[in-house]
Amino acid sequence: MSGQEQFLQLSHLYKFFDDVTAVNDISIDIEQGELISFIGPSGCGKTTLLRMIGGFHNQDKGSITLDNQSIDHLPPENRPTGMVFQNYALFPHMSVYKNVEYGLKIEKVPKQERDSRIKEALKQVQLEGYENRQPSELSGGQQQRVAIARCLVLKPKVLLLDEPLSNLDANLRMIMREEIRRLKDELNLTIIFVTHDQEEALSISDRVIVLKDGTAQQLDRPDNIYNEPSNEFVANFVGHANILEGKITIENEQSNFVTPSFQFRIAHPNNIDHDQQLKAVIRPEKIKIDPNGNFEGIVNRIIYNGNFTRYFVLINDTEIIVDDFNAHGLGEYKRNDSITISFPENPHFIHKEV
Amino acid sequence: MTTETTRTTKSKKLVSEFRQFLSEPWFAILTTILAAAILLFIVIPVFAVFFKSFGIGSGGFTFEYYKEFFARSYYLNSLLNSLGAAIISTIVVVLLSVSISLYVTRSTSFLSKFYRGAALLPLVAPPFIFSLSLIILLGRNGVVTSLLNDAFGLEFSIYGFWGVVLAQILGYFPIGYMLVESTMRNMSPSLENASRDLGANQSKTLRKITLPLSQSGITKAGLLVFVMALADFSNPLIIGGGETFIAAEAYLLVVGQQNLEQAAVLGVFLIIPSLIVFIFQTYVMKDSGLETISGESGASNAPLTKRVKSVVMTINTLFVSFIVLMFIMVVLGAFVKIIGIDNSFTLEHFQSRNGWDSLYTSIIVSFLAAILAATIGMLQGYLFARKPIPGKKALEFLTLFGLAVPGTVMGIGYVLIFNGSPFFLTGTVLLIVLNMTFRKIGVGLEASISKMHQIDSSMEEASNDLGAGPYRTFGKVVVPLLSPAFIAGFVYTFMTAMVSISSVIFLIAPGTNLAAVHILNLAEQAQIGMASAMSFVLIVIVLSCMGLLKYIEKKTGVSI
Repeated sequence: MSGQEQFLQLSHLYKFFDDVTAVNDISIDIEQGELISFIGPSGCGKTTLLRMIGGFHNQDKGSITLDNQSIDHLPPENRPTGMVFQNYALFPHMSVYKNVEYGLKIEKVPKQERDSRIKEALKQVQLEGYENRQPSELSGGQQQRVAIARCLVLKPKVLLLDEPLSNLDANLRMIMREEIRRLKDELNLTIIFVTHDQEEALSISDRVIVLKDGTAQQLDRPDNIYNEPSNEFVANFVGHANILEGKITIENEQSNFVTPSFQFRIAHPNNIDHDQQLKAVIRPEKIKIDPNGNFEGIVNRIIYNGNFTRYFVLINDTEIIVDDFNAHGLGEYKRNDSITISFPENPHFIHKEV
Repeated sequence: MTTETTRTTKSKKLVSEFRQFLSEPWFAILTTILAAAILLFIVIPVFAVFFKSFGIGSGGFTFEYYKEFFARSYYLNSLLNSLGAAIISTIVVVLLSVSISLYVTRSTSFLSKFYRGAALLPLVAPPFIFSLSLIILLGRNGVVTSLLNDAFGLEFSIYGFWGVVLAQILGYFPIGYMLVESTMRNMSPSLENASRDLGANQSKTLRKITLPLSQSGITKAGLLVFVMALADFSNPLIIGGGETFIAAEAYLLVVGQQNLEQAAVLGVFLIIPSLIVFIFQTYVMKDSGLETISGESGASNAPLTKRVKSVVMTINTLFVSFIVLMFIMVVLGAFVKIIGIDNSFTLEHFQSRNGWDSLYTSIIVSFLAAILAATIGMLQGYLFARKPIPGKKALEFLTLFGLAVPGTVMGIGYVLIFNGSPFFLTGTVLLIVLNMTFRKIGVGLEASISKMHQIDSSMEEASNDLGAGPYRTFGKVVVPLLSPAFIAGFVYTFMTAMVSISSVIFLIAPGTNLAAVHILNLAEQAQIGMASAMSFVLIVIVLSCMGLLKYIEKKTGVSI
């Protein structure tokens, strides 16, 4: 931002489909070697944005620069980007080797160099020895690796991944996540990763951009996205949250957050005016079940989740979600038990949306 | 040891299958009747032609008729002409199909819809409609021919080999086009996108990815068009001029000379290529369709780039305009006195008693055939998809074989079988209906088998579990679910029966003349006005049926 050119710059991008604004004024600066995720519900414009970078959609307004060069007017075949498609799009009439060779042949790379680069790319994705397989003979994870190798072999400046893990089962998803991270670190790849899975985005990314209806909601590090969501949408889309409406009052040097049904002590927040309508975002695991807690509630519902138990606690008709880690086995409370809890001292505040 | 055990398990399986088959007696009886009908109305007539070509049944086994075939250049020429015309029209149809499919599958513009609509238009017309309009346009006194003659003194007419080729290209185009288009449409767009992303431009992508992946569809289209063009019967009769073609020749041998044996020899030469192609398609091509992996979100094919688009659009526009022009010529021909000579408006071509009578017969016969074919197809589809039927694969093969047999061969076969004792059916409406039905039941069968595969068998199990027996389950659960397949079979049979000619022309008698045959006769006698008028009416009827179908589809929400 500060005068220094970024590696990949999206500035003020717009895309309209009929009367729908699919991408609405998106600007992102991406550093070399960074992995950035686009997340949001379906129809939020994340895939459209990705396809715009790949050259499959032309933006209606705005510009894209990559490595100090505008790529706006380049067709997909001339862009130095590599895309891994959601369904992998392996050419079914070609072997693994031929699939990976495809782009090199078009670049007219000599045979010997082609061969060594294909070997290297397949090694990078740990698929040595699979050269002569047909795509139909590979598992989902292997197909995925071929699709990545097919891009890597061309040494793209940016790797574009369109929901790459959505067709894999849960365990494989974890493994491929690690794999992508490893490749990124080893080869210093710049990666854009589209997903609708917030957990995946948080775990894999250097930064995350949350999109809704084509508009950027927040662009930040994963921990900031989670802990300091910019608005209620982000708070709810990424993880679960208790969102309490109220305002801050100060009495006797002590700040309190006052909701219609109860109030609790908070540390005095910086840069926030008191007597203003606010929303406090409190993650369920930040609320403690605490015998010395200052709030007594009734357990209304319980969901057992294995590693933690989620309690829905009623305090004066307001339902509060509380996650309790099951460090010692089963959660100890039952429905209609009374329970005491304490709120964290420094919840995250967002302004009430107009 | 092991082979023995497999044999015993196999025979055990067969026994249990048979027992199960008999446990629902009504279904068993139905299947038996069906099998008998397929044998009688599809298989036996074809064998009859084969035997007749060796003189069996009329003087004992002999090769004389084959010798005759090879001795006379006349017959051999007809085979070569047919082969030549079929090869050329196949190549042209395939190229045009690819060109139009390329545009239509990646554009939703008005032009794309226009291309598609016009490309499919020939389906609603009798197969020889283009001969008719080519004569109007380029015949001896054709509109264009007269102009050329007046202006430059050019003597020219379309009659002959190339006229037949042109008429075949136009007439068989939709069949090829539909197959090519659907293969291209089913291809995942991200494959092309991936190729672009990897650095290939669009024309390279088309060559390296799109066309190789459409290969199975293109091959199928080519084979089908080739077989149909080879067996083409009506175009050569109308526009062939002095050239002879094999199917037309066979017909003339039967009708003109009563030489059934020689006609049967031509029939054998007609059926061999069809049989080869049919077996090739059923056994060799079956699994060759490359599977593309599905599961992507709303991606679409990239629009054509300027370079590719300009080539494709030029070809498409020229060809499609030509089709439309052909139809316009028929409409004009129907409403003016003598097109090109006296262009005053008239309705006199529509005032033909024989014409309207034949049309009435056609509608009745086609309707009956359509009901019968759709019902049998549906029943058969259910039985074949769900019931253990001994020899079901063979029966299915034979049913579909009915679609592949050239009409001329079937027609000759019907004459051979049903003319004399014990049937004496020639000339009856019943025989015409049966002929139309059994030539087309394969379509209804395929539609309902594929529909049955979409319906989970747990649906019927649920009905059984709720207390309904097998027959009630069939009536209350299966029939309603299969209704789209029934309608598809009905519409297809009706449409094709209305314009079919090559087989039924052998079976008509005074009083049971059919519209398509009547038009053919008119065209042969150069009664262009009346032929055009009748064709026009026929097209309107078939089009309105399709319109009605679309309406039902919209109203009921059942996709057909």
